[in-house]
Amino acid sequence: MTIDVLRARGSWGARLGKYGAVLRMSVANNIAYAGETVLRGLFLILLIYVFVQLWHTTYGVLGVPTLGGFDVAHMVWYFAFAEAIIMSSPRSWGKIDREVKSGDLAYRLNKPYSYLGYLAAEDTGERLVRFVLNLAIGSVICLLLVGPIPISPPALLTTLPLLAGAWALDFLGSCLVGLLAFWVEDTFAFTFIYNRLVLLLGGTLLPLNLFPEPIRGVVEWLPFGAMVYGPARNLVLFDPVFFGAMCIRQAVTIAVLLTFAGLVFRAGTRQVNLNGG
Amino acid sequence: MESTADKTSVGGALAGESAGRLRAPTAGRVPAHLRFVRDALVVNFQIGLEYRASFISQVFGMLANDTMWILFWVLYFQRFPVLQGWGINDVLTQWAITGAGFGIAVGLFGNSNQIARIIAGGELDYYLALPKNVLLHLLVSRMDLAALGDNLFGWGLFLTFLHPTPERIVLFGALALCSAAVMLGFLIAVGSLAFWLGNAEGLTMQLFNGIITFSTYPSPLFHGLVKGILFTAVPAWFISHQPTLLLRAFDPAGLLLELGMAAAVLTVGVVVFYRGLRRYESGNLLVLRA
Repeated sequence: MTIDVLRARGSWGARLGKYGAVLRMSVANNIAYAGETVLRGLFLILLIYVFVQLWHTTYGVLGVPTLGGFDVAHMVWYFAFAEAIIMSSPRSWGKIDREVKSGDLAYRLNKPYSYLGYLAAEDTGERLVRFVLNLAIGSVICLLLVGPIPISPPALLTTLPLLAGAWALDFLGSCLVGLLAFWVEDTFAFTFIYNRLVLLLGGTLLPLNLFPEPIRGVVEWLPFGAMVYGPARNLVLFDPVFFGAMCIRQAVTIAVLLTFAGLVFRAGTRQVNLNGG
Repeated sequence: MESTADKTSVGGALAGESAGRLRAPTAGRVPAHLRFVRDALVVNFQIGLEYRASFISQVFGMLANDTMWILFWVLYFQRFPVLQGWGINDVLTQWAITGAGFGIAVGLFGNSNQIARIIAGGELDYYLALPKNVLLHLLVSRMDLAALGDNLFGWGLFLTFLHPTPERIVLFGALALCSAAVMLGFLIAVGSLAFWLGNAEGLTMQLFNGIITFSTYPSPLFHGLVKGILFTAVPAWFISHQPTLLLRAFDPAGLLLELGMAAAVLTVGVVVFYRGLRRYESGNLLVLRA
């Protein structure tokens, strides 16, 4: 057996299998700490309660049954779903930041996997467990406070790919922030700004179609809406045209961010100095 | 050359240079306590400045974070101008006072939201071994740099948008101190639950998030039982709602109520901490604070 054979890349199935194993490991790890996630999820109860009050008061003051197509119940379910997405974000930037600063990144780079691929699998596992728990908590509270809303099977089925796309986008955005650690001493400020951009311009607190013009025209072109508003609105107010447009937007944005993240990662790792010992 | 590591603990940094003065007996020594707090804050600030880029990054990160929240409310009130008599200026006032108070309670007294972790981890031994007021020493041993950004934000917002006449500046400063006292008392009390519960870190974090959330949403949203809770168990009303009402229309009785509640909540926090401290058992953990 020659060294070339040993170094040869495996089949696509074998390569994906590695990341599948990491994902399963991450899911198992996070299920082991599900109690902590549930405890954190309790904050969601408070947030939903506050937003129920906010929207009840707003609709009451305006004396209108719907705003931008949302009635109070739809608005609250939209918020709960959007918050479940936000609160499930595993903060991959923090891992990258720590590994770059501590030098652990060098240890990872010589492993037979893509560093970003490994992180993506780990991130997805963590996100999956957190999202399911947060959504369960949010749904119970919504049922208690505003009752159920009709969600059609097409809405449910089409939301799944949009949710996957939203997770991919958030992962890439988070990575780009974390990779700044190659050049800056502290990524804290960038992280804060990124998180708040996703929260606000992603449409978590206020659906993007309720933003006043001309801000609405601008935020609809930014990638943040595809991370939160897209899947959340698709679930509660399903519209095939909106779904199609959001799919295209997510695909284009993922392609751009993926390329960008790859370039930044390569540029960053060129700065890594390895000293044996 | 003095290394930065040598300066990363207040106790360590101060012990060498002014140990005699700082190790004065605690009872009835208010000026000594004040000097201790002043010196600790100065040293903590110097530590922060040693890592200048990180310091600036954290302060401006938090400023940007708070500004984003304000943008949400600006967008909201542009779309829906009045919320049961509560307008954009009232929400800005709430955020300004909460930011300024938070900057003091968590920024200057940086361990205030770490009490549960410190107790559960057995790290209290370090403070017990030194001849200082345990709670005071614990609180001032760390500065939360990011929270200083909140303070800057609060004052900046007030001075820029909220009609800062000399009288209102004095009132705002006094109310920010009251708000900080309420936060500090609450944080000490819930952090001290670790004396009874063991690991109360998650609970403390949830309660802390809760009180901040309740402090930053308009008062008309809360009625009945929830409003009752905000007056008592989770005293968010006195962190931002009551100060906002006072800055809107000054009322001496309202100010007295605010002052009284600030003193009461802080007292409750201190009493709960020292009651709990009787139950504390050393874990024989060797804590190195270098």
